[in-house]
Amino acid sequence: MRNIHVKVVSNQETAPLCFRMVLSGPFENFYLQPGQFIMLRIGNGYDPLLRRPFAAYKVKTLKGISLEIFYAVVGHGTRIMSRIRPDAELELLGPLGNGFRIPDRTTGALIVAGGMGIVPLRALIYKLLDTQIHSIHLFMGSKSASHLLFHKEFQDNEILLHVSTEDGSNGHHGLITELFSHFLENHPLKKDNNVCFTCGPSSMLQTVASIASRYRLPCQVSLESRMACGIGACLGCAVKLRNHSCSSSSPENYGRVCIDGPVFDAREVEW
Amino acid sequence: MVNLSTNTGGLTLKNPVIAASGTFGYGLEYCQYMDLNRLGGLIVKGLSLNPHLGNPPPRIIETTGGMLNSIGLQNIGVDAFIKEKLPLLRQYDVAIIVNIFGQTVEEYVKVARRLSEVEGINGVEINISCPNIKAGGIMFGKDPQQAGFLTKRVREATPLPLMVKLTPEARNISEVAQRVEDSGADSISLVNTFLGMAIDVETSKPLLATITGGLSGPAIKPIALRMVWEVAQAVSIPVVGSGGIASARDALEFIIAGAQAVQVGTANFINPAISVEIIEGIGKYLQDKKLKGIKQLVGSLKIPAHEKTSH
Ligand SMILES: Cc1cc2nc3c(=O)[nH]c(=O)nc-3n(C[C@H](O)[C@H](O)[C@H](O)COP(=O)(O)O)c2cc1C
Ligand code: FES
Repeated sequence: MRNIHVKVVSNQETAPLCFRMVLSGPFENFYLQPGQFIMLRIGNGYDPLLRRPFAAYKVKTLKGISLEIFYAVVGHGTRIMSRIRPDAELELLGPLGNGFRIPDRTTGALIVAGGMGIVPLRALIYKLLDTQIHSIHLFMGSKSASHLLFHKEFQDNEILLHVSTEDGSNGHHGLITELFSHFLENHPLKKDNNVCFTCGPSSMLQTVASIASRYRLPCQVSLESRMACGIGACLGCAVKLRNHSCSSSSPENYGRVCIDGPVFDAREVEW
Repeated sequence: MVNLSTNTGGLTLKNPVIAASGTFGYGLEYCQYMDLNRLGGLIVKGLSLNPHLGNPPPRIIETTGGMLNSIGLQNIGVDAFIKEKLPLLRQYDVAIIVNIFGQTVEEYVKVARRLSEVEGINGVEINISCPNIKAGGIMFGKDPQQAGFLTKRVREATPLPLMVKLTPEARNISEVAQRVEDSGADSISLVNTFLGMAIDVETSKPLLATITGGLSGPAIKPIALRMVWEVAQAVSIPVVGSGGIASARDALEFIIAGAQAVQVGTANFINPAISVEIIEGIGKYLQDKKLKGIKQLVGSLKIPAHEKTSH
């Protein structure tokens, strides 16, 4: 966990307003668990001022190990980021936060991804496959067919893919949570050995968490938040958590998405 | 070797760079990213008598050249700090300054007294300048009389070096500074954040849950610098400058304007090791200018003769 200097190898639009950036740098001893993130400084000046958090994925290429991040252009910072040219030098901090945990004896995974939420979950899928967990249902939702990331990649895999789009251009016409709920209704699970993992818009996470709880399915949610430091110092990334400890006077408290998360047990979060 | 040491009223620092409260956690969060021993000092997150929950999210938003925050002084309380954090922090060779706040004068007094009972704390910074809590904080900092009264009461409660942190929201910050000096403060730090806001035009909603928040970062530097320059002339106790410092040159500006030391805040988020770079940059500057120490630089602003009269 340190500040490292990296170089942009490529920065290209892969779907409408969705970019893939590849970074080269000293990544040999850079161990990133699925769900962990990095804070990337976008440029060297004061605009944008703060680093931005991104899920990252380590890839081996002919030239060595590089880091891959995907981002949607959603605001001022990511717009500037989308104009960064290859060879630009950037700084990144990481790996940060707590990733997904795969409990012992897990035999199956139900993964619910909304939009860009698929990025950290993709890393998780490869880790699950590596650990010989092959019963993987991936529920992937997005705005439209062109926004479905890694769709082909997953089709070639042994995982079971369930797709929805808000405009009906691919798969179920509607929300991914509808597909997820419908699936659970019709497919009784051996509940002890299945785990649900989810990442995406906050409203989706909340729905997934409540569906999972209805089926007594353990559920891990990866939360997003605006961040300033990314290392637990500023308290800017607060999320309301349920307080289990009876000793505390307050029924709730704030956790930090950056260091207490970003992956939380869904039951901990006060939605 | 140049001498980077400086004195902020009863407190000698090995160099003039202090990590600002609220941007440096309890110090320990940063130890993986930089060497805490390099810092002149560090000021821990504002502490209150009891743990404080803080404000609902969203609590931060970036603005041009700066950021707004409405953390609301979330903290673990003075006792948990003493028990859990201080023993670890004390292992570093760095001046530990504790930022304190309360909703009432009595609460400030109690926290200060509690801190005076333990070993390992080098100073107290009274926060009378937080714009993000309903009671206490800035309420005391806007009114010279209340600021003076609070300083006097805390002064009576602790022998620790006492720094009072002012708000730029005061109508006349120099007047507040003078009252605080007269009431027994050892030094004055300024500025805390400016009250600001930001709106999402797509939804017409404020971008912070609390609507308004404190503005910090490079965007506030020129105003902070002007205020430090004014206050340094108005008081005779040491002044510690802060507001938007992100480089050695920024820090040097504050020192030339009259600050004995500086606090680095928001810039820690941009680069967790920025303070070390600033310390090195100040050292190099002194060397290049053939100056023996910081003291020769403090308040060395040269105002051309004709500009003294025509404002
Ligand atoms: C996220 C955040 C939290 C802060 N918390 C505190 C605090 O607890 N007590 C305090 O006196 N000042 C607090 N401040 C103010 C800073 O210490 C500093 O005075 C201010 O940000 C201006 O300096 P800068 O522009 O270098 O950040 C906080 C600032 C930020 C950005
Ligand atoms: S981003 Fe600063 S505490 Fe999480």
